[in-house]
Amino acid sequence: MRLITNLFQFLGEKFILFVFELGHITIFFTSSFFRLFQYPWQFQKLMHQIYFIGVKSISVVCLTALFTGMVLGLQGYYTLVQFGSEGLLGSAVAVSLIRELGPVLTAIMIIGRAGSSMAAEMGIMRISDQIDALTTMDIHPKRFLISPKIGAALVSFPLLTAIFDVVGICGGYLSGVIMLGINPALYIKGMEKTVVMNDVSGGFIKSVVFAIIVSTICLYQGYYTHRRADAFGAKGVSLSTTAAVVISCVTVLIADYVLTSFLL
Amino acid sequence: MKPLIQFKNVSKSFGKQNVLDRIDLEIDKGRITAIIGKSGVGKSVMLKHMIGLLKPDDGTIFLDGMDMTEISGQAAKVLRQKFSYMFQNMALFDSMTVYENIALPLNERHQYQKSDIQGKVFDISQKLELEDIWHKYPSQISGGMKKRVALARALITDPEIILFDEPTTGLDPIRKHAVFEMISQNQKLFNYTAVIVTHEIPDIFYIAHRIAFLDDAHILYNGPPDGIQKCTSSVVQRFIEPPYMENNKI
Repeated sequence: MRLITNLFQFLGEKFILFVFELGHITIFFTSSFFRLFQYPWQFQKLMHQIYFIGVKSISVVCLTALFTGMVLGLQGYYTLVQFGSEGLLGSAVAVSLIRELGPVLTAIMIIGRAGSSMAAEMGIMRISDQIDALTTMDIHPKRFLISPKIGAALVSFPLLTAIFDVVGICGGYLSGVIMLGINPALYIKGMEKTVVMNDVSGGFIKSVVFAIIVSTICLYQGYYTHRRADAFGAKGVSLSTTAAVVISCVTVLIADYVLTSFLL
Repeated sequence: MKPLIQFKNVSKSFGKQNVLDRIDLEIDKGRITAIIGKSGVGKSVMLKHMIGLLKPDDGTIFLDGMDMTEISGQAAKVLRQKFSYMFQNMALFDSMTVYENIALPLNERHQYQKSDIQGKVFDISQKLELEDIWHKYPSQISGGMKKRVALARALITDPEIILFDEPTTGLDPIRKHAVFEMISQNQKLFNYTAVIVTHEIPDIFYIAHRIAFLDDAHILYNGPPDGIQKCTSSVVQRFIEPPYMENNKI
């Protein structure tokens, strides 16, 4: 009986902590997001962050997309050819990229490239008193540091997802049409017939939601690195960065399932 | 004289560690007050309470008669603009150049033209011999230079109250004296209120108008520098007694 009570107590504590953290992170996002629209505008900082999160991620996103598309083309061809339906390859590649793989893999690539870096940057600024220094200078730290990054993520994620989709479809064309000899007209026509606007808008919605999730989790982990009970200083920053990457990736995958179930 | 900052029964603990225990302290307007004491006794914690980075567990802090613990929003913003804070570890922005670091508080207040900001940064840089390193990043300059950059950033907004957290640690004796002299001279010139946390004894006695000695969560001495010699506390006496004079040996 005591074991069961202890178990419930443990689970209850964890649940309350989870709800508290969820509330805190929501307040963190909303207060930072709305400061993006506060005058004076931070246009230059926003552009700088779009360059960092978006432009600098293009190469890694393109490379991932190209090979993902090529693998989809290969796998799809050898499955479809068994049923004599290799003509559906274009639609299979496009739909799986636009609906699922594009938004998810783009988000995961950005987590690895920009998310970890944002968490580490915030963590170092926190432990070296730079965030407190902003407060003492009457500069709102969330407005100055967090808002432009969230704004940039909201702009960059959908654009990078679109690039991923296009490059991925080209990758599928490369392996399916050029390497395996499928009729190019079949590949493109099949894609045109199957892909509808709902697929594209679904992918866009997912990318926007992932932008919110990734930027908020990564920045939150770094910004509050000093609250960690398990480590301080450099080790705290390292753990916060790891936590930012792991939690973001897992949350993106969970959110993908939830969104897909609503969008289908 | 009416105190500008007033601590009344202020207590603060971190976990089980009691850092401030019912502290009463008054900081006079237009004067230099030094908070001295051993390392880790909570001197910086007191400074952080003054600027609102930390909130007391108990007690109140008054600024110009207003309870700082109750103020928020625009009123807190107005109050904060009166302050400047020089951090113990400088807290310079390592992704910004020296010039950008010094100009940051002015740039973000959006009240000044670019040429005015440049003029002000140039003036303060000249005083602190920093004009040759404007283009450098904090990681490219020495610890002493970083101190001077942090000092320049604290002085650039012409604040009414400046809180200095160990402003001379890591500086050579010549620059240490120069910094204290500059704080003292500028204080006379601009009549700002300064609170300095330091270990520099006896140097601080020459520029401070009031000394507060903090130990074991209590203020053991609070008064003019020339009175500290007469303080009966053995902790205070041991702290201010030069160790190199023991047994007449160095």
